[in-house]
Amino acid sequence: MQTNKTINETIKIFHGPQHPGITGNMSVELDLAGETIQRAKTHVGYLHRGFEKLVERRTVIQAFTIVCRICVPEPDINEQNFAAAVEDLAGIEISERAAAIRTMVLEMARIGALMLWMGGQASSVGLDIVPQWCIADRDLILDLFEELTGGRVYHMYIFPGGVRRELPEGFLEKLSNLCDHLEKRMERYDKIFFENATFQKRAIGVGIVDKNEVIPNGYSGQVLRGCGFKHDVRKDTPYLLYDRLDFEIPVRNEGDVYARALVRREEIRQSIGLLRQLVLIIPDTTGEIMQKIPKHRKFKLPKKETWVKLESGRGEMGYYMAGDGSEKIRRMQVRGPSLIHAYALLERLLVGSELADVAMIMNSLGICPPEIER
Amino acid sequence: MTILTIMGQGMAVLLFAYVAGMLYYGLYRNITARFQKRIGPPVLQTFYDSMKLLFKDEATAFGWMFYLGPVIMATGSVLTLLLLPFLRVWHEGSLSVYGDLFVILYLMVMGPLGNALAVGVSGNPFGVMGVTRGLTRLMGLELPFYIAVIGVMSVAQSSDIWHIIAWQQIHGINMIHYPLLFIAALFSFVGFMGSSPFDVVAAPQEVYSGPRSEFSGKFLGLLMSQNAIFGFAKLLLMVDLFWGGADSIVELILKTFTLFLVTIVIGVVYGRFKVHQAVDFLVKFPTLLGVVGLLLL
Amino acid sequence: MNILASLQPQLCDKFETQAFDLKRDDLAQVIVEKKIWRAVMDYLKEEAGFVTLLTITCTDWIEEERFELNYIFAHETKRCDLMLSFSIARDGESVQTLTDRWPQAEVMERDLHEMFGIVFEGHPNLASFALENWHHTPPLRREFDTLAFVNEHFEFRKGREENVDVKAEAKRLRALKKAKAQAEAEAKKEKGADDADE
Repeated sequence: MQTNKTINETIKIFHGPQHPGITGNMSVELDLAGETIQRAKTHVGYLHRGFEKLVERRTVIQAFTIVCRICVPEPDINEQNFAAAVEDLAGIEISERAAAIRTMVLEMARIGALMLWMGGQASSVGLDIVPQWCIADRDLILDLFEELTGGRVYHMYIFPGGVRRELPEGFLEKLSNLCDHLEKRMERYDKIFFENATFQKRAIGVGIVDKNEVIPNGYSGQVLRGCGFKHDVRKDTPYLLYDRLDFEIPVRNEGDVYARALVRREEIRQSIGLLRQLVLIIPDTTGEIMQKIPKHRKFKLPKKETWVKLESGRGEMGYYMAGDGSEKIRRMQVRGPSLIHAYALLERLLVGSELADVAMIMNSLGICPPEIER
Repeated sequence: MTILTIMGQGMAVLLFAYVAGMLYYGLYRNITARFQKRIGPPVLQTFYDSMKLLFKDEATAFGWMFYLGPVIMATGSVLTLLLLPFLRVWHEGSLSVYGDLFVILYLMVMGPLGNALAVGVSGNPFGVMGVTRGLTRLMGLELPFYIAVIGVMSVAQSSDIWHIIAWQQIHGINMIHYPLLFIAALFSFVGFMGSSPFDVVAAPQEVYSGPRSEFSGKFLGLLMSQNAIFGFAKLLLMVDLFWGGADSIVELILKTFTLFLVTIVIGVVYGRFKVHQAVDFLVKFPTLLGVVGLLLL
Repeated sequence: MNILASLQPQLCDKFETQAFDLKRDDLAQVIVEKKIWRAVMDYLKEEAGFVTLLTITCTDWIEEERFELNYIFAHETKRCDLMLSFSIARDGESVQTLTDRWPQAEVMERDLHEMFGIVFEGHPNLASFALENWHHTPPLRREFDTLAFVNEHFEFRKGREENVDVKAEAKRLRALKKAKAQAEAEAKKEKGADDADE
């Protein structure tokens, strides 16, 4: 994408792959004339770990242990998608209790990922208080995860067939207290971040997404909802317990960075509300935590293909899985929302913006390089 | 007033400014950390950092202009400090009888210029961008500041800072009697001290370290030291112009630290403006305040 | 969902589909031959409302000597998805690109070209996506054996010659333990016999 300026009048800068202003490890090659960007090209490849090939040599249970590492800020969505795909192929139905606990874990992960986004977005405009606070508050969520699953970041808890262990004693009470604490903290974040005059001045009117391209190009998540489209996988094609829970989809019309920030702020509030409902529902659910599944080398997947998707903190994440009758998975493809946002959308949005806005726009689109190149 | 007394006083002032500047910076890191729910590094950390850097070698070689750049910056800072009135009781035997406000204002531009020369030689695009931002921002910062300074000079009928201090002894400090001028100067002062919202120059999320790119080892140590000295010199300038100077070391420390605290607290809660937004803002509201303050003189 | 159920007769009447599989309420798969896939895709996009391309995947059925390409589309109401599948040969058969209709296809086809070696005709830039300076077989093909590749191209660090095979070692240790337990039991029996004698 080049404008009329010739190459001789531009300087080339690589924004990344090691840069305090990017959300992970990817680089954007920029051609600048002064501070305005004439051309942008995304380069990934610094985080390629080859998950899709690794999975081919492993049985289903062995593959389960590596799947959560595909997306770093929010690992539980990978586990859920993997488990849902395997259950779809093998014909396993999970119990209501397992579904409720899975929903709770996913919502906690969503709040954690959104707080991490808040830190990144604030740091990209120079407000360094917010990332420090966010890490401190997110740590409380990670403490709860450690109590529940044994691991702070990578949980390996959502297993094909259910979840791996029962809730510890007093867990739901601690979760309820955490929700209270987070709600009080979010009011402070409102004052320092969302109502901050410098953030509003930097973010309003910047990074506006063209509304006509949104649905055909497959933008999802807050990009979609910040442009006025009321879609969310949890409401359109509900999974787990979402059709029983009561929540709203926040939508704004402007399509700029500030609109997406407000959408995310509202989503944090909705997630806290969902957690409170789950705290009341879970004690009354029935069923086994784990269904009986065949042992490790006897767990064979039939020769079928499937596609499952869910709503992550950044957008729509989908898994394609194909089994071939043996105990190994024939093919698993991970498609995260960032694959589209980092290429088709980012390269368009950056042309004509300023260098100072690159970090802000990248944070606002929720680009997570690990899931682009898995 | 012999050469020896001048040199002696100059060295004492320089040493004090170095120590005070470094300590203030250490305290700044601690105070900012407390706002951010952290503890922060030890207060003496800046000393350790700059001294360690002065003992290191550099790995790059860019030519003689690259060596000259930090030296020019340090010259500007040190000369500014020596030409400013330090304590009221040190009127005799100080270099500051030779300086006046016009010279000081000229010297304050030497920093970015020296930086620009050095960074231009290194060819790092991030450095070049940082320096162009710095020079553009300087245009915006200077306007309200110069209006306030013109007001102060016309009130005291002199451009010699000692006369301005003496005038404030008789008629009361400028901060209270001419508050609009002080507030206009304060906006610029926040930018001069490198606090948000005007700290666009070295935005790490945008241009790595901006004008300090490519400096390492002894150059970086020299840059950090001259930054500390220059910071203290700027605080001293504001205290002399608007707060009546100081009689004793304790009073000086109290006054300069209070001003420093004001810039820290403002900087902590705001993000940074882009360059043209900063210049836009500075040319409108603070300049207007300054002009109104001038008209009300 | 009704969209997919009502799509089935319309699609199967108009085109020669090999199979139409209604997997779930919100997911269906249509298997066609390669020669009509563009026509089916146009129909789905223009008339059936499947306007979003979500992803392009490829599965390597090496024993049947084919690649199966899956184009997954989403309906504009986002209530259901459709998989359009067709097979191509494993060596060099090329497919027409979709970049003229959907800009996101550019990255997806680049990814498939790098990982499977499929050529997409008309693609503006089939450069490498995630790998750098890779000159061997495209890695996601089944004939590419990662273990063999590693053993061929890399050397193991010195100092691990004492490493033992875990299973064999565990078996040996179990046998040792069993033998020791047996010896102790026999010693106890003898001692007991001695005590009984006294």
